[in-house]
Amino acid sequence: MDEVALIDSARRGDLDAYNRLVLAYQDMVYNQAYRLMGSLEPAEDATQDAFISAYRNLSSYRGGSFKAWLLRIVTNACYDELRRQKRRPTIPLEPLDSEDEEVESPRWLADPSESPEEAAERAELNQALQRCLGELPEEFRAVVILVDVQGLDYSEASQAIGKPLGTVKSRLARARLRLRGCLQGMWELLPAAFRLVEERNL
Amino acid sequence: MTTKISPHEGELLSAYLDGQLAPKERARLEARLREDAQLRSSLVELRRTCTILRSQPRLRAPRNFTLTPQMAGKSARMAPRAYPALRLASVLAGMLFVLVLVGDLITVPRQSALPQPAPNQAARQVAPKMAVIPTATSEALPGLAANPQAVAPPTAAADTLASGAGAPTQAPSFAQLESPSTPTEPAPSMAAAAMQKLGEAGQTETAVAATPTTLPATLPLEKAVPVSPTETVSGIEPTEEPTLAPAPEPTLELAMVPTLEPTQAPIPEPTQEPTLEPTQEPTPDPLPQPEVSATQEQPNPTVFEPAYPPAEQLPKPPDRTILRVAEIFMATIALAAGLIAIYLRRIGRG
Repeated sequence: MDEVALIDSARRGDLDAYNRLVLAYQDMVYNQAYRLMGSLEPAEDATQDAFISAYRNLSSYRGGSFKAWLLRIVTNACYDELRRQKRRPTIPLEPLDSEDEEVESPRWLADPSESPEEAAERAELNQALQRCLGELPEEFRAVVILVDVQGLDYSEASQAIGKPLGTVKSRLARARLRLRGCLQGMWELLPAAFRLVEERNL
Repeated sequence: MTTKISPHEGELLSAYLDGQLAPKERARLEARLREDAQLRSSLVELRRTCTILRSQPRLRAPRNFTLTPQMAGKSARMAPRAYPALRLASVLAGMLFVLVLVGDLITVPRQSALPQPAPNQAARQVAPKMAVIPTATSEALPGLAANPQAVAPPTAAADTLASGAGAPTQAPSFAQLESPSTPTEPAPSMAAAAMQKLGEAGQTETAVAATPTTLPATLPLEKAVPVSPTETVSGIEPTEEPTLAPAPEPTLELAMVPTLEPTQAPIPEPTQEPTLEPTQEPTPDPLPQPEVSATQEQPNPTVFEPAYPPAEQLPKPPDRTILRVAEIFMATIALAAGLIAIYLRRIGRG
């Protein structure tokens, strides 16, 4: 069953068809939420909210990239949540280890296939990236995540943020320039394979 | 170190990295890159940034986000749809409530202006009753207890009263009519007031001794006496109505006359004299006719003039109740719709 047929069935109230779409896109939606929110549990909530909201508003989907449409919904859900957080600032609970020390790099972020060193490096890089993303204005952050993390092209990103291509281009450029400054010194943390590829391209 | 480039250069480099430049722009930028080392290093830094971003592992969803029928259920679906309608209903009902309330409040002064005559009537109607009550109690007690013998002489006294003093007999008749039905508790104060007024009136001639004899005398004459007082009443009113059209003054006098006279009985001369003369003249003819109407409608003649405003007021009380009902209705709807809307919103948000 292809995506269009599933969407049609879901629109007519077929929850199973919709849930198959959910399973297909939940990783993407969750990643978008996590990168925008910067922490795991709010990302989970935002993801669930986004899928519920998407189901209720299926009638507003008028063709085009379903992926971009979903990403737009989750992005808006994250904006809402972030604004709510700003109004009611809370102290995030970092996981604690056995000595009541905060675990700065929670284990569930690590890929079990990596060695512990690699995992630590990646976690550190991930943390640095997340911090830098968090310093960006929301609308810049959304675009750079859509393009560089999610791998959308410009037109899909333009659909996902509901703004013209030119806006995507300029926001993306400014977000990348800001991140460039923030991530200075993180280069060494990149896995060697990436560095090799990068240097070959130069 | 990051190299400084203009936003425009940044945009060009960014688009170049994504392969989004038109061929001409791309050729121009590549030519500049070959010459400009600073621009080249900027491009390298930007590319690294993108590489870092793309190198991040995709997280797996920690769980499945599939919807349960409850999540997609109609009750949850109803909430966002019903919410705006309920909110609107609540606001509209609230506004209508305020409108009706304001209308009600605005019309209140007009209503309070109109019923003013009504209290007067009530006062007038009550006044003689109240005034009569004390006389009845004070007289009835001694009359029944102490002077059972006085049955015969009183009739004579009553006759003399009927022929001689119209007004005074009127009062006892009322006392007899109303004393059994009306409570006697408020009487003392009124009686005292009446006594004081009497004293003020300066009628010192009143023979206190005479009152007990004559007053109890009238008590047993419940059937006989009413005739004569009603005559006098009927006699009084025709004389006064044409002359004194404005109600308040004559009614006050009427009210006072019965109060004054029964307590101190038939003797007060100055009050009787003006009434006596006119009453006796019309009595022969109009006696039977106004008798019934006057006795039963005794308060009514006073009512006649202010009767117009009440007649106009009559339709208003129902209007007012409708207003009140409307106010309660609107307020209830506003409250209920608002509460349901809030409740639905809570449910909708989970």
